[in-house]
Amino acid sequence: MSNTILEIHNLKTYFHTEEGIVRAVDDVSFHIQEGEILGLVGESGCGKSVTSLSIMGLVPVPPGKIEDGEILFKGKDLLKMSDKELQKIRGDEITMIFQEPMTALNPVSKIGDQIAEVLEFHSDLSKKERWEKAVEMIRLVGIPEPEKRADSYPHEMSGGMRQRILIAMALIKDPSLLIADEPTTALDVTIQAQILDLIKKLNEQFHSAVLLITHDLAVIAENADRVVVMYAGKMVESADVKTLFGNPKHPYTRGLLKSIPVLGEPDKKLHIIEGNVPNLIDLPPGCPFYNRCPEAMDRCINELPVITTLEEGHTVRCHLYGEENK
Amino acid sequence: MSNLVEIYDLKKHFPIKAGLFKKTVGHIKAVDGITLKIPKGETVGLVGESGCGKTTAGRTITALYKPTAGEMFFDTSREDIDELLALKKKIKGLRESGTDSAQIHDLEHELVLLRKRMDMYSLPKRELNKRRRDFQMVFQDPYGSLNPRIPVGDIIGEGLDIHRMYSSKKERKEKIQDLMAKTGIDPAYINRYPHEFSGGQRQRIGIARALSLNPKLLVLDEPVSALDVSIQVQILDLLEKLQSDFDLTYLFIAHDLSVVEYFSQEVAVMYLGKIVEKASREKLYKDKLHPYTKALISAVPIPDPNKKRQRIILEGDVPSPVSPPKGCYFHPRCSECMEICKQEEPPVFEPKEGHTVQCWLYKGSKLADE
Amino acid sequence: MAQKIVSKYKEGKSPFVLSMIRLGRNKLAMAALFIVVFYIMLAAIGQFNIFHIKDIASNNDFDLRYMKPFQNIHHIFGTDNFGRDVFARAIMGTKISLFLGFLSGLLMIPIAIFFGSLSGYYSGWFDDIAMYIMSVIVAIPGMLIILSLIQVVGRSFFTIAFAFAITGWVGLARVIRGSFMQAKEFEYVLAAKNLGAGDARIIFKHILPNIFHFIIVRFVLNFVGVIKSEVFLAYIGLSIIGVPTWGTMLDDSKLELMSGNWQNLIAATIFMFLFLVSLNIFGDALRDALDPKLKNVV
Repeated sequence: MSNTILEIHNLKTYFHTEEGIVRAVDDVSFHIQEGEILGLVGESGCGKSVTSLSIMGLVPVPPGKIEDGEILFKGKDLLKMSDKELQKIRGDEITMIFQEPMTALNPVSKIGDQIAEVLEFHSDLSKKERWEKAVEMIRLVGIPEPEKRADSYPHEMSGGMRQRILIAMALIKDPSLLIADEPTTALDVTIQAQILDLIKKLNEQFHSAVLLITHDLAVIAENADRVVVMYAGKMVESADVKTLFGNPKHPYTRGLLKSIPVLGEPDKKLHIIEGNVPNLIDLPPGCPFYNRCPEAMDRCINELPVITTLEEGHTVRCHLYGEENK
Repeated sequence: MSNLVEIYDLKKHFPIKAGLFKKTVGHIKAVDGITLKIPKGETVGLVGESGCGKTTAGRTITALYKPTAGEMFFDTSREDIDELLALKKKIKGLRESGTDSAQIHDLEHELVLLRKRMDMYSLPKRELNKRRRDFQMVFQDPYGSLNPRIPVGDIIGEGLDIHRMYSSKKERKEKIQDLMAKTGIDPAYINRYPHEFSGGQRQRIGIARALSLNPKLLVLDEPVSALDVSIQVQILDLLEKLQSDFDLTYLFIAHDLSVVEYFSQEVAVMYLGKIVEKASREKLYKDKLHPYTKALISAVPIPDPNKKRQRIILEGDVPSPVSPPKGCYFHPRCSECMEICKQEEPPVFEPKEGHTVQCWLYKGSKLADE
Repeated sequence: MAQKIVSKYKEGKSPFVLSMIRLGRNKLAMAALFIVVFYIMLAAIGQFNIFHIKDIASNNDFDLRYMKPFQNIHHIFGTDNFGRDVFARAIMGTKISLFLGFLSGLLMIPIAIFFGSLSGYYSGWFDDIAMYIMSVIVAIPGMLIILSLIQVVGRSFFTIAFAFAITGWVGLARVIRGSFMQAKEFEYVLAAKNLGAGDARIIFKHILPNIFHFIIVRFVLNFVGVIKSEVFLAYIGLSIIGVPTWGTMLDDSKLELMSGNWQNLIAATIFMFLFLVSLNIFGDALRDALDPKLKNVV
């Protein structure tokens, strides 16, 4: 059995706003194994990005605050670390790529320098060695003529290319965990395919674990090994990718899968999930999906379901699978 | 079946100005000669990647941008369109054969008169503003498409105000609330402001605004791409319902192939300002002809972990629309590029009935009748 | 997160109302506003000659020359060279400063809106000409224009306000022009155009209300610039004649200081300082409150 890189237990990240407490992440637990791609999927406002910020220690305080829980990285709790320790882990062992490849690079500095700069803080290579390593990374992420590219500026590159550079920067220190927060949302499908293939290839090559955060179920289906589905700050289902897509249990997951159009199946009748995501400030005491759920029962109104394990590795938070109904 | 809209050789070039005297140094060829027919009551999808000119095409078709060249016929009879096109062809022929200019001049004058009568783009501004009632648009960004300082009732009612489509305040309010109800917004919210609504609700407000003038054509510019998956379906469903209730014709512009395929009867694929392939949705998916379409379709992820497909990876980037490559615009990235592709722009072929493609691979087939 | 928070108010609240609520929560800004309002009341006292302030300010009493501050209950800030009450003169100066700022702002804004909105909205030849005019005005030092205008037309109150407006409108016009160029591609503007809206409707209903915060803030901060410039004008002897202003008080003080009298200096400085600081604080807070980028954060 491979090692567990990251374990999150009962994470609660809240935002204290003037209107009330936003429970952005509420009691989320999952883990990531070495060399695995974990997909974290959900709609906007479900808390998937706040989860990643919590791991990175980048939640803005205030208004944000991690109220409770543990984030164990290789057995050590990140939440108990000092800023200095955290900073070391952040650049060395956990790295992150973001949605917007346009703004994440410094426009007045050469690509090669920007990649090499990452090494400056975290290793004792000479300047020339760092530059060579940078060129090597550019080659690795599949950009032609890496020597020439290292010498150019961000504005001379397309969006897809810039995202590759950011991946190179994230991987140059050979991290144990790569967090990819909507890495392809801003890119076109043809470029998206290239970037995802690259992440997958590098995942196999470097054995880094990847936390792939996206709203796109199709991206998850093609790339992730295991999936966590979030809704309104809560984890609603998690399973390996084949189980989740083949045998979804939570009514939200089921509805979501039935509601996406699939290329090549134009006559698929799309299922409609009525209503909107509830306001995270005054969430009802029961299941957050209650108001939109076709299988809602009376007890869903006031009683928040607990996480039930259906079989090894497949958990769901729904009263349909509670102890009484088994 | 008759066409509601026919667009011929539409071009929109944005000038690039530089220097002290604002000299034009080049053009961004955002839309570079597209021909499109939209049958009454149907949905035509226009799909392409960012920067391919699909949004500009939509905005030019609705006359928000003044086209550089091209004609648009809206609800015009076949005979009229043919008359104008025949005349255009005749002038072109005469010009090529070098006939004296006086005759051409007369014919051109005639053409101008014909255009003023039928071509939307040749109408004077006032006249055009009146005709705009027939073709409306739904925009992409649910946050940017509503004026934040105006209550939603007035946003929806603006078209009614402009065209004076009511006789009393009461009638205006009733019409607005009726539109709100039909698009699924609680009419009690008539005095609320846009920031008090969610993305999906705002998109409904945008749809209600477009419907207020009883249009025949709706240009939907990425109406669901900014929305969450579960909200996307709600909006698509609403649009479907409205299409049959209001007898609408749609031009559906999107980058997401799966949504376009689901929503449209016919699909046109754009690349660098041109339509490279056009067919019914079944044909386009099953017998895609253009190498670009093939690559595009192969790149779309499928939400089924058991299906693994072979991807066609496109090399390089989309060239700049300022100086597109010579010959076929796609040739530098094409895996099946031939010598002729580098030299000459391919004409539009029609290898199968109703399936057109702009690619030299289909050289033997008959030319499309455009 | 933030964008998910939908308003808690039952009735619709416009972005402007929300801005004002936000401004109201800023205690420092409210304190500044209170001081500004206090100054407006001082100006009203000067204008309507309440407490016979005009007479007090111009009453020469050579027996009471150069009285030091805080020694006489009737002359709390002391008296000047002619035995006039400095406190009363500072209040009269408040009136002039406020009027100058108000009038020049009022003159400046229509000019800026006219050039800024038309050149931004239409581009083309009008834009070229407008930009040329603006560049020329900016290229000449503002004080030079003001000085020559005053020399030519004379030192009236209106001339000086007009001179400030002529030099002050360019900055605002440029901001308006830039905003218009951006705004004409906004989807809600295109939507209005698509509905058949004419240019006037688009400019006045859709674009101007959305950039009005620039204009309001500029109007407030215009006072700061005008008051400072007036001091300079007075110092070189070109301010309004016959009425006390903060500038002329400071001008007077340069002679008095040599004889060890600083009544004028301290009165004018305190009055100006408090007013300018309050205006700046309030202007900045107003800018923050009206900023559309923060509009969803209540």
